[in-house]
Amino acid sequence: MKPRKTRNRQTTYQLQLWLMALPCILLVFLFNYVPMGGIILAFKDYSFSDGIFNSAWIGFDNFKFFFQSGVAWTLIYNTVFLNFLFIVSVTFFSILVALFLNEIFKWRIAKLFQSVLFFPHFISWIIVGYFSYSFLNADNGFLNVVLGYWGLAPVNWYASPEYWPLIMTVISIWKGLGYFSIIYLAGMVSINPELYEAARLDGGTKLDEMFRITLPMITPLIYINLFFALGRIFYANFDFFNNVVKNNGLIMSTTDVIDTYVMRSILVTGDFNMAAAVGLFQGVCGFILIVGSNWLVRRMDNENALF
Amino acid sequence: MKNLLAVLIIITFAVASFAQSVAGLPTIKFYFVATNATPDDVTLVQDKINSLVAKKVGANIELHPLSFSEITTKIPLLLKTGDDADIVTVSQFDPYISLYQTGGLLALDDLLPKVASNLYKLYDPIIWNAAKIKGRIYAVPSYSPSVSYPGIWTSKARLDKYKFDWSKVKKWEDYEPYFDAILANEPGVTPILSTDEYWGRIWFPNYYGFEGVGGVKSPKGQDLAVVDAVKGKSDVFAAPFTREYEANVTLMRKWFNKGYVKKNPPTEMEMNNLRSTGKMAAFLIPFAGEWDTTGMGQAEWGGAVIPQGKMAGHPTIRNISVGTGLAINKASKNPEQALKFIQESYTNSDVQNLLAWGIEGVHWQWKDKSKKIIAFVDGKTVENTGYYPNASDQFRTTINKLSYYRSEGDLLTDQRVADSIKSNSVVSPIFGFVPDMASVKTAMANVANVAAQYGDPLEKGLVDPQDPKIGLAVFRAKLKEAGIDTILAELQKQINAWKAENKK
Repeated sequence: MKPRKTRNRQTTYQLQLWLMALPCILLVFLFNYVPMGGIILAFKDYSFSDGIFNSAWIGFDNFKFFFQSGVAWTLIYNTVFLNFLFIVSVTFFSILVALFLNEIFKWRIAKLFQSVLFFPHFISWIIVGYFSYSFLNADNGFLNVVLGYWGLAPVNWYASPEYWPLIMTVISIWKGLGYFSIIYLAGMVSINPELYEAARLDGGTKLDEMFRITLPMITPLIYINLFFALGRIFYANFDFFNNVVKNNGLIMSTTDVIDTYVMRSILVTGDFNMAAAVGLFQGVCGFILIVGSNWLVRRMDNENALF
Repeated sequence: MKNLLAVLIIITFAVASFAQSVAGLPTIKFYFVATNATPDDVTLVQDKINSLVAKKVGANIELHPLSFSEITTKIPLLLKTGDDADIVTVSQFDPYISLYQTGGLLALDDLLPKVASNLYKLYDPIIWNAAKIKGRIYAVPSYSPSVSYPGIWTSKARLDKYKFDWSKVKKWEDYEPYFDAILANEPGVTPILSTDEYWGRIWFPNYYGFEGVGGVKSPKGQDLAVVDAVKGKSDVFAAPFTREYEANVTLMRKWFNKGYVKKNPPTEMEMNNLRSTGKMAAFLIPFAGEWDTTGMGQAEWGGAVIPQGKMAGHPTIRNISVGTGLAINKASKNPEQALKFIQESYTNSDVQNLLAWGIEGVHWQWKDKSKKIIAFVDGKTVENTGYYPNASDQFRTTINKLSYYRSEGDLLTDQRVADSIKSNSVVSPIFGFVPDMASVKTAMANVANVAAQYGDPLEKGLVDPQDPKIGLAVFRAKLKEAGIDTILAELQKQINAWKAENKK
């Protein structure tokens, strides 16, 4: 009788877990799997009056607009390059900040830093757009005033494409730092304190503790965050680009990304199939990247692979 | 107890929704443009209209005002997605051809004589024909003649201060003394308003007598494919390749270097601030004389009086077969009732005036009853009135001379338009031609992007036209690459076919 009872308890326990996960599963199913049906729009000449299923199939015609535009590779390069810059710099700085925060003993001070850093995360991109405009505009922008104080020549930022990768990286660090450092900090807090004690007993320095215990222990977390970011590397953060760069023709050579290009096209043609096609392309590329990098990680360091 | 409460709530809701509309009738949603409309006041107007015509139309109307900045994107979206909208406004902000291209407009030619015979009889076939695309009517045009010619809006006080006589102005260059005087005497004031999206350019095709065709342009730009309408020609060409375009962007660059515009075009919000605080002097516009600026001066220019500075140049072009009008969504479940409502709006002066001005005593009062001139009620202005579409053309036609009400500014505007049509205007050689751009969609998208990247900065003077990397030569080369020639060829083919068909 006894083993059966355990099995029963096990089943109830699992049932409870499943029930708890159910809302999330439903959510993912509803918002991530159901919309995948929309992929067929990428191959159709959709008009709502004919409906999704009765609209004509046109094969790969919807993809043509993007790949025959002559700028497809520039756009893909800009998107991936900028996202890569953002991912690397945000990850690097947020780990650094988390390491430092983790070493602050006074709980109140640590909390204060954390809140100050986290705050930009809640500021909408529209506001960030206005901030950056008042910082950078060539007529009475703050930055040019400061440059003037130092005796440097003012720069017309909105007409100088070469500075924008840097400007955008700084903005995304400022905005993303707090969020990711909290994730890493949470990982660090859960590290077993006995490890540190042992290190101290063996004469390890503070730096040893940071780089030989803390960092290795949060590596899986870093991998997970990187994987998530890689999966979306072909998608630009549209809010970011639309509000901060504002479709400014002068700096498009370094800031125009797939999403903003598609948006401008749709404003003229009103054709959503093209957007569906480009979206599919971005999704497939992201998928290949995730699977590929996971494969790479598994070969190098089996423990940290995601799947 | 809890259950009882729930039942009570449900009953309250049911009763409330029942009381709002005339029993058993379907609802028609009408999306139009309005400068000002608060939900409470819209409900007032809506209820009044329903009490007048709901039974006759066979449906309750539901008003959905959209602001001028929303309307360009929202209406195409409603149509494209087959959203729950019945009637939408066609205007220069959502040109007829663009809305047709969404594929969401219902063809009305079968319904018109059957359901709305009074409306159909309003116009003679020539006007209905001018509203046809590929042989079918997709909108009820609001037949009000329009002309357009570039010019400026600037405050009268400033003009007087510098004793500048804009009535003698013949070309853009003639404004230079005025702008120079402002630069010299009012530090901190920028002579010409610009925004990151649209304003701050002097390239308007109609300045040279060109008329745009096919809507080939950057999302916020000017037409690139044009015909020389004033010369009566119907050969399509790309404006950026002309000498006129080059001269224009070169002049704008000169103005930019002089400091007539801000180095970085400000955001829309920033521009509004500069305007209301008087930190900017003039607006360069493609449609001088066509608009009543009284309200704008009060609300947005800090109370300034704005004369309409129109340049005396070549004749203006009478164009656009359907400038303004009303259309029905293909996804509408009650197209017949929707068309009947349009008929009411065009033929029933009560409905028309309610839509255009709101309710007497609440939104407006008589200024001169015999002449049907009205004004805001005391204490109300453009800024704080609860209902003021400020675009009454969308609800009416001038052809049946109904007793619709007008403001004094409206009357002046009408007079100006009538005068310029009479004295100096030509009918466009492609009047009534509506192209179908579906086959060159891809090229359209690519050209639009090239125009946004290279054309818009050039037209605003932000770039030196001679610049080897981003100048005019590059813009032209990129336009070729993007397929502008394919578009021009397709347009020419369609115009030729249309001319043959109409024996022009």
